[in-house]
Amino acid sequence: MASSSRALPAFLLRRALHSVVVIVAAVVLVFMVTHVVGDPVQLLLPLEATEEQRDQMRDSFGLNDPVLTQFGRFVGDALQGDLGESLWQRRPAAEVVLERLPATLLLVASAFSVSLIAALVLGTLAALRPGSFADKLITTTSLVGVSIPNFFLALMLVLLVAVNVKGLPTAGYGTWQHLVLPTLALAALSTGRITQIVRSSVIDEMSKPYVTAARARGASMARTVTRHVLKNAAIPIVTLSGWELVRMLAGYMVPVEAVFSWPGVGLLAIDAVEQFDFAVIQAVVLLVAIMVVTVNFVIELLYAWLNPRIRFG
Amino acid sequence: MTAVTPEPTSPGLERVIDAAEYRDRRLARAGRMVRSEKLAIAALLTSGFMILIAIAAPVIAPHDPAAQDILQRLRPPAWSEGGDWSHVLGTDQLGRDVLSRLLYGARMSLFIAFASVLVAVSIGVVMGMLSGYIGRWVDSVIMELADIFASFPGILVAIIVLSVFNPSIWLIIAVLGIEGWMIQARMVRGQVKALRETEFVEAARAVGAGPVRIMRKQLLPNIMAALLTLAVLELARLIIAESILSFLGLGVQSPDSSWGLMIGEGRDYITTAWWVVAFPGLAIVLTVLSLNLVSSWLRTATDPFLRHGKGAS
Amino acid sequence: MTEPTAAPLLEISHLNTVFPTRSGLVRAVNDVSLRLDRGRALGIVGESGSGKSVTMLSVLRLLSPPGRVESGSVRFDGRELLELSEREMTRVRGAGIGLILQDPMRSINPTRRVGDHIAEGLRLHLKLNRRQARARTIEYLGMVGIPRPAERVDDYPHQFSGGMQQRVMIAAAIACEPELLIADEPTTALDVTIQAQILRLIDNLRTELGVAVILITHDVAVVGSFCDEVAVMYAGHVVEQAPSRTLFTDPRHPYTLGLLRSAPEDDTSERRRLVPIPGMPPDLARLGDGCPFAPRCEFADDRCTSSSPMLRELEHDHWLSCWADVTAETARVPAAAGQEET
Repeated sequence: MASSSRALPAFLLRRALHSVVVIVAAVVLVFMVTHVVGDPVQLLLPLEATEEQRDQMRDSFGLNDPVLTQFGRFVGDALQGDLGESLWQRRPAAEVVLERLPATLLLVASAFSVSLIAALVLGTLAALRPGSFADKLITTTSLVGVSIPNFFLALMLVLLVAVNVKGLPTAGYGTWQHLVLPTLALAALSTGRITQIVRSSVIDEMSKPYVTAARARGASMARTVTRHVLKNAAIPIVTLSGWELVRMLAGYMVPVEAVFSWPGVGLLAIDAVEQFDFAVIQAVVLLVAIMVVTVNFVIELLYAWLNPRIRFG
Repeated sequence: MTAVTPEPTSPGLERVIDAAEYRDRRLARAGRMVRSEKLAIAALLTSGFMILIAIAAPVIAPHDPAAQDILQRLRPPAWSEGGDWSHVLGTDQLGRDVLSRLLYGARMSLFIAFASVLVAVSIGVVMGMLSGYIGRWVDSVIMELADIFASFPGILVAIIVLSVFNPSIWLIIAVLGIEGWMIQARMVRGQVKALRETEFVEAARAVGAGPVRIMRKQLLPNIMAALLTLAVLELARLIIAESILSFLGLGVQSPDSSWGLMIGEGRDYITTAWWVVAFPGLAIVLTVLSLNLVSSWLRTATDPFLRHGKGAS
Repeated sequence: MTEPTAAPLLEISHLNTVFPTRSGLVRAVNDVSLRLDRGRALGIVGESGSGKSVTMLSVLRLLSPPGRVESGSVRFDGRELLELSEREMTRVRGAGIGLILQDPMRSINPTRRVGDHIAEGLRLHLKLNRRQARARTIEYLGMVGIPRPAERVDDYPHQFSGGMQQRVMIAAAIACEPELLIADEPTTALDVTIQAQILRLIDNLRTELGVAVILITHDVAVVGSFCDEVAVMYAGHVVEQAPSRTLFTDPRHPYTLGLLRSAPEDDTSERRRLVPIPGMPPDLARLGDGCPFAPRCEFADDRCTSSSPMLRELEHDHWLSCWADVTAETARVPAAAGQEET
């Protein structure tokens, strides 16, 4: 009998360390980039302001200090929850960003759930009847779904709805109807990709002897698929789905938010960039990095849990 | 009378084939398979067509893509009411010819995508070779690096980098290339690890060839097929990535043209002038779709050989 | 096997199974007829591609599409299996007929506990509840020789060796007390030392439980000690079938002769040349009109290449499908060890 817990903690520790490195790297990168170029002071003072006045303002914001000092200050503050002051909105950057977070989370959660469920159903259906009309239809649709940029799909949906369907709003936030179109636009790519992997994964598993063995014991096809195949096919599916979720969080939601004026973190990033609002830009990157890293970590956990070899040594 | 005995063959004496023959056998087989896949041929032709018009744009474009003509603004395509054949696909909000912008957009978008793939492949191949061939700590370091890069919220960071610095073409290429090397590296590493122990590499080593020479002459030709398959896939992905950036205003800038930029600029007019957005969008979808098809066909055409190792034919 | 009065447990008649492929229609099972009485052991011997496994999959109706049974009949325990609905068929599988596959590492589900494999059948067919199923599972694990079964019932497959895994699969196959057990190359993927143990286990179970056994193998030596009757298959046809003693002392088909000549014997007291059968197995998509073995047969003549022989009964229970009249004596090389070399 093998011991259960030698492999697991070491594995998780490595992943945790990883995550920290990624967050730090992301933040450093953005910090360097935003502090090397761009001068927020320019926007705050009228054009006639003298160089002296600009310099004074920079001083007051601590922008004339050496970069490392600024970074040190930033990290110190960040660890206390203070991510700086949004020069654009005159509020703590942390507040600005966190205020927008729920909208993005809602959109991504909604799109991801739709993708996953649709893909599991469609992919399995296609895999159980390979080469059939249903399979070809599903495969073609996935292929097309993967080839459409989400902002274009979003715009086409807007066009379609504006002209034909009443009742589905194309901008804004608030009711569930507002969620429909953005979800569809964001989900298409992921649905296509996950369907493909579900299909190929299930086809691979169905050809394995343990499936024949299970059926030979009297399990029906339905039972075999749900209780035997899916669990084994799960590993590549979970891994890929995780990456799709990360993809959504890491930036694919930005164009969708832009098209639908969805008040989330993505739209905020674009606005902040236009306004040269360093604090908010940094805060957004930090937040997104944390989200991405968390999701990746959870995927690793799931993977370890699904694979008996890792879980039970 | 004695029984018929089979011809004596020495079981261990397989022919040692070299890298060139291995590759030739596979190309011949791939060639034979082209004829049997009509969809793949259509996809190949479509991608080829797109590349062709991109290259030929300066020659075949009817107008200067940047030429504005306010009197002609928002003219519909030639076949609709109000359109005329001097502007086959209509004009945009500044009176620029859509067809010409589409052609030059193809040129720009494809150029950026190709160049980015080249960057990603170059970095990826080098990293992958080093990682796979040398192994040990070099391998660990490179793989950790790849993991970290992969966990990065790449798109978001790209957005920020490009918004802070002036979005020149080369910067776009650099950013897109750098965020994509990991997947090539991982694949190359896998291949190299598998090939490292094969006979022709052993033979080359025995003759005294140094690692660089082996990498160049023995390993590289054999991973070409897999590399090509992946490169085509990445090309498709990068076309979409560039279009997202340009759509958000952070990629190609006016008066230059890119498919994503066209969509971004035409966004406000979508309900009144659908053609400004639809044509570039369609172009993206067609190109990406055919590239995806070509890539998946390439994978089936070349994979069995890689799986069986030594030139099974 | 001397009273023709008792109805056979399994009767396969003129079974034809085909696989449509790009290179043509592959005839994997050609006009195969076999019968097996209750409690008896039948061995099916043949090379890879001879159709032995496909025949059994056809019986259980577990062919992977696009394979299908083209024609024929399979009567099991008085019922025509090919006419049952899928739902009824799931009740036959496991409870009427048990199946053991070749490679235990791949026929066991790596993400489910070892006990589940056995309990699944018990709960499906015998409708036992969880506790009862668990108790029975532990019993069966013990019966097949797993040490400390109560401790190991919750282990995962990767914690077992190949031989142990196969024992688990055997337990799962007999758990619902089927009348017939089909073992498809049960020892091929195992170590030589384990092979004998597994075969002995199956034999013991046969005597204890009275279950009929079909043992499929490419190794002719294995069937000798174990089976009452042996059928030899080639290219989807049954070429010879006889009680096992008869087959070994009086083989009549050139292929059977070839198999016996090329098989090493345990008894190496007599020096004997191992003679392989020349040539390659045929392409099942391009079988001609003649006997499928003709290209490799040293006794083949014109009649053999132009028409395929029918299975006919030579003597009591000895069936043969061959035009030539070949026996161990008339054959130019001795058939089995113990005879002199020419």
